[in-house]
Amino acid sequence: MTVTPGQASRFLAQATFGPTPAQIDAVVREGYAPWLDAQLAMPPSQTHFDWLLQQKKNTEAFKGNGINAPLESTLWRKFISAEDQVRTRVAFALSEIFVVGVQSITASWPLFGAAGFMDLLAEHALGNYQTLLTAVTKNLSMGCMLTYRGNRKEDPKTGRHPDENYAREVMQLFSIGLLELAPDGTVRKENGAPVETYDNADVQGLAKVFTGWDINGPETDVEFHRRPMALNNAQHSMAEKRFLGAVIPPGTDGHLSLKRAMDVICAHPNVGPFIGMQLIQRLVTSNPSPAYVARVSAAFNDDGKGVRGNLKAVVRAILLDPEARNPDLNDPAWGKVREPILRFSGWARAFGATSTNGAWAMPDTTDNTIRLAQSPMRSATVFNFFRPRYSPPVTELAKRHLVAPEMQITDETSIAGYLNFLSIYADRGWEDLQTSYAPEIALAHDPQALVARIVLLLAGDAFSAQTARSIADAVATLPASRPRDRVRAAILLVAATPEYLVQK
Amino acid sequence: MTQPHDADRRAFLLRACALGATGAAAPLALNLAALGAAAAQSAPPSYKALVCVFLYGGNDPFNTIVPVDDAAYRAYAAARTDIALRRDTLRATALRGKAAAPDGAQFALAPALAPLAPLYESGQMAVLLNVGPLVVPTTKAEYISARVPLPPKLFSHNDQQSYWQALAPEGAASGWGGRLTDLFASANAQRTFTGITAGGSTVLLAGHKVAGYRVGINGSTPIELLHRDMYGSSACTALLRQLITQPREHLMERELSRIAAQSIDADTRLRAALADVAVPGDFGSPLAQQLKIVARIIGARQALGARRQVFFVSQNGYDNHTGLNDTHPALLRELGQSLAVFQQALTTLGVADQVTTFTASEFGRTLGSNGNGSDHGWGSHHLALGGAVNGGRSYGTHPEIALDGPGFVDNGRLLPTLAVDQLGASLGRWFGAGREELRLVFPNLKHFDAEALALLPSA
Repeated sequence: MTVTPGQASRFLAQATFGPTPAQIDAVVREGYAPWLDAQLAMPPSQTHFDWLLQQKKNTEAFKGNGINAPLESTLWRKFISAEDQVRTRVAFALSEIFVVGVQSITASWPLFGAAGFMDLLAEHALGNYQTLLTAVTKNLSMGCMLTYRGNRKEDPKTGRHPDENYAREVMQLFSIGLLELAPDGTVRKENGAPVETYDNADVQGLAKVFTGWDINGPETDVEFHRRPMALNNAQHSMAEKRFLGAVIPPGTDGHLSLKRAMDVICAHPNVGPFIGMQLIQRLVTSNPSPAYVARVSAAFNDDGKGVRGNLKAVVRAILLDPEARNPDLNDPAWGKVREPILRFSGWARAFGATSTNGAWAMPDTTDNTIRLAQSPMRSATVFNFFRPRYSPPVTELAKRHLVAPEMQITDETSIAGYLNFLSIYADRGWEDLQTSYAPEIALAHDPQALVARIVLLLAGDAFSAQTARSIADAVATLPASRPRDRVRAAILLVAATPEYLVQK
Repeated sequence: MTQPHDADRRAFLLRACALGATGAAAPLALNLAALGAAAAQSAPPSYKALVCVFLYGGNDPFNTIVPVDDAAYRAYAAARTDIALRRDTLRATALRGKAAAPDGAQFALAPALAPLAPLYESGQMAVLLNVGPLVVPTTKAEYISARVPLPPKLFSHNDQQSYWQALAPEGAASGWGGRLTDLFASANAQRTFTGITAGGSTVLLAGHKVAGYRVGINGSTPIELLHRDMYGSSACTALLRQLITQPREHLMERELSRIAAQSIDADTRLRAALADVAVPGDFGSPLAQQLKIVARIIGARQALGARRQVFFVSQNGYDNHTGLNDTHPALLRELGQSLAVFQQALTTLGVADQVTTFTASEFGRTLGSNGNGSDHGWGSHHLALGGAVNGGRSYGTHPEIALDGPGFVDNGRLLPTLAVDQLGASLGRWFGAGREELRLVFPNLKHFDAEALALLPSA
C-alpha cells in the first residue's frame, strides 16, 4: 500500500507531536505499520527527571511550589525533540486521563514530582494497563493530587472514615467510568435505563484499600519522588473491604489489598472501551464509530497472545485502524479540534525549531489571552482541561449528539489568545527556541510552493486547494525581497484556519 | 409587566403546552422557544441581573455556616472532631438577624466570612440551609430503598456541577440560567451579552438559542493581528479575518468560525462600552477580579442595551479532602472579601436592588472527618445577597446533627431539604419568569409544595 506524503503527515499528527519533513519521508518510504513498529520498539529516551538532575535543578531554589519553570523546559523539550515520539505522545495522552497538576503536589521539589509522573506514564505507556494503574496508584504525586498520601484507617471511636477521594476517582476517571459500557463504548441499558457501575458504598469500601500509604524516605534529596509510596500497615485498614462485588477479607494487609483491588478494577469489562475510547479521542478523533471502539476494546481485552491490557497492542490498533487511516475527509464530523499544546509543538517540529542553548525556556502556557489556555501537567483539577464527553451547547454538534472535548477550552477569549500567541512564536520563536525557516525561505519566491509545503507539514492532505490558493495570493502581496515575512505570514494564515485547527 | 403582555404570554403558553404534549426533550426546547417569543412581546421595564458564584470542588457547609446554640455545637464538635471550628472563634460572626429561627437554631458565619456579617445584619444577605439536587422531596428511608427517583451520579464532581447548573448530569444541553434568559431574548439589544461567564466554561448559561459569552478579567480579548497590517500587507490581514470567520461545512470548524466571529464583534462592542466604566474598591483576588469585570459590565448595561443578564464567576479549590482547616479559611476569606466589595460596588453603581448574587457548589461534604478533611456530600448551605433579598434570616432547615441521624445519609452526608429547583425558581421569579415558565426551566419544580421561597419578591 502506497502512502502519500499528505497521508503520512496526517498519520504523524495522530502518532506524534507533529510531522517533520524527515518523518514524512520515513513513513512514505516504510509504510505505516513498519514505521510504527520501529517506534513501539524504541526504549524510553532520557527521562525528564534525569534531565532536570543533569541541569542541576535539584537545588534549594526549586524546592517550593510556584517555581516550577524547568518543568516546562523538559516537557516541551521531549514533546519537540524526543526520538521516541509515539511513546512520548501516548504518555501525554495518558497525562490527560491520569491527571496530576504540578501545583497540587504537596511535597518538596514538585517539579520533580510532575516530571517523574510523566516519566512513569512514558515507562508504562506501551506496557501493561494494570502495571500502569498500580504504578500510578503508588505514585506520590498522585497521592498528593487525590489526597490519599497519609490517608489513615477508620477510627470507630471518633467516627473518622478513610479519605474517599482516590477510591472514587480511580473508578470514575482512571478505569471504568460511571456507567456500564458495551465493548463498542456505547452505554449499556437495562429496562431502557443506564446502569451505574458503582455506588457510594463501593467508594467507602474501596477507600479502605488506599490507607496507610505515604512518602517513601526523607525529603533531603529529590529521589523520594521516584520511589513508590511506602506502606505503613499500622495505618492500613484491616477491616473487610467490599467494592464492585468483591470482598477483601478482614485482616488483609495493605500490599495484598492493593493487589486485589487492582485485579478487580482491571478485570472490569468497562476498562477496554472506557480507556480505549479516550485514547482514540486524544490521538485520532472525537467521535469514533462504535465499530472502531470495539476493535480497540478487543485489542485491549486480548492482544492476540491472550494478554489483557497490552497498551502497545491498543496503540497499534488505534493508529492502524482503517477508520483512522482512511477516513472520509469530507465527513463533517470526522476528526478532533487540535488541542492547543499540539499546535505549538506541531509548529516547532514542522519548521525545525529547537533550543539554541539547551535551556528550552518555555513559558507556562495556561493564560488564555496571549497563550494556549492549556499547559502540560497544569490542569487545575483531576478532570483535565476538558472532558471526554463535552458537547458544545447550542450547536449542530450537540444536536447530533456528537462531542468535541477540546471545545470546552475554546471560547471568545481563548480563540483570540491562541492567535495572539501564534503571532509571537511564528514571528520570532520563543526565547531560545528558534528556527531559521531556511527550507521555507528557499521557496518564498514561489508563494504557491511555499504554502503547499506549510500545508503539508501542518495539515497534511486535509486542507482545501481553494484556501491554499487564497493564502498564496495574499502572501504574494508581500514583496519577494522580504522572504522571511512571506514565510511568517503564510504560517500564520495556515495555522489560523479552522481547517488546520481541526485535525483530520 | 403589563397586563396585556401577560395575556399574550398565556396564549403562547397554551400553544407551547400543546406542543409539549408529545414528549420530553425536544418539546421542552420548543416550549421555551415559544415562551421566548411570548416574552418578546414587550421588554421588561428595568434592569435585573443574577450572579452565580460557583465554588468548585464542593464547599464544606459545616465550616461555612456553623451551628452555635449549645446542643447543636456540642453535636457538631463531637462529629467533626479535628476539623471542627472552635466555638470561641465564632462569636464575632454569630448571626443575629431580624428574628430567631422558629426552632431556636443559631448559626455563625465562618470567621473568614466576617466581611459578610454586616450584610446579613442589614438584611441584604440570607442564608439558605441544606440545598441540593432533588427530583422529589426525599426521606432517608426513600433514599436507602431507592423508592423515589434520585438525581443521577450523586457525589460525582462533574455530574453534580452540571446538576446544579442544568438540573441534569454532565452532557446536559442547556442550563437553567440560559433557559431563563431565553425567556427574555428580546430584552437585550445584543443577545451576546445576555449570559456572560468570567469563571470558565459553564453549562449554566447555555440556553436553547445561545451559549454563554466568555470574558477575561479585563473584559474581551482582541485578536492583535486584526489591528495591524500583517507584515505591512492589508491583503493578508483581510484574508485572516475572512478565513477565521467564514462559515464552514465541517461541524467543528463551523463552531470555531462562529466563536471567532463573535469574539471579534463582541470585542468591538464591549471595549467601547467599558471604556468609561470604572468601579472603585479592592478587587485584588482572583474571584474579586472576576466580580470586578461583572460589575463593570453591569455599569455598562445601558451602552450594551442590556436589561436581563446572568453572570457566572467561580472559585476553585474547595475539594478539601485533606488540610480542610489549612485551606478552607483562606478560600472563604477570598469569598467573603470579594462578595462584600462587589456588593459595595453595586451600591455605588446604584443597582444594589437590581442584582442578586448567590453561591452554588456541586455538593456539600461529610459531617465526619477523614483525618483532616471531609469527603463528598450532597446537601449544602448557601448565601444569597443583594438589595432585593429578604435577608437577615435563613431559609430551609438544618437537621439535627448526628452522623447517622435522619437528616443524613451514607454516614454524615446531608439529605437536602430544599431543592436546587426551588432556589432557582425563587431567583427566576424575581427575574420575571411566570409560574408555568419556571416549571419548564426547572423540571422538578412541580414536585415541591413551595415552588419559590420568600427569599425574593415576585417581579
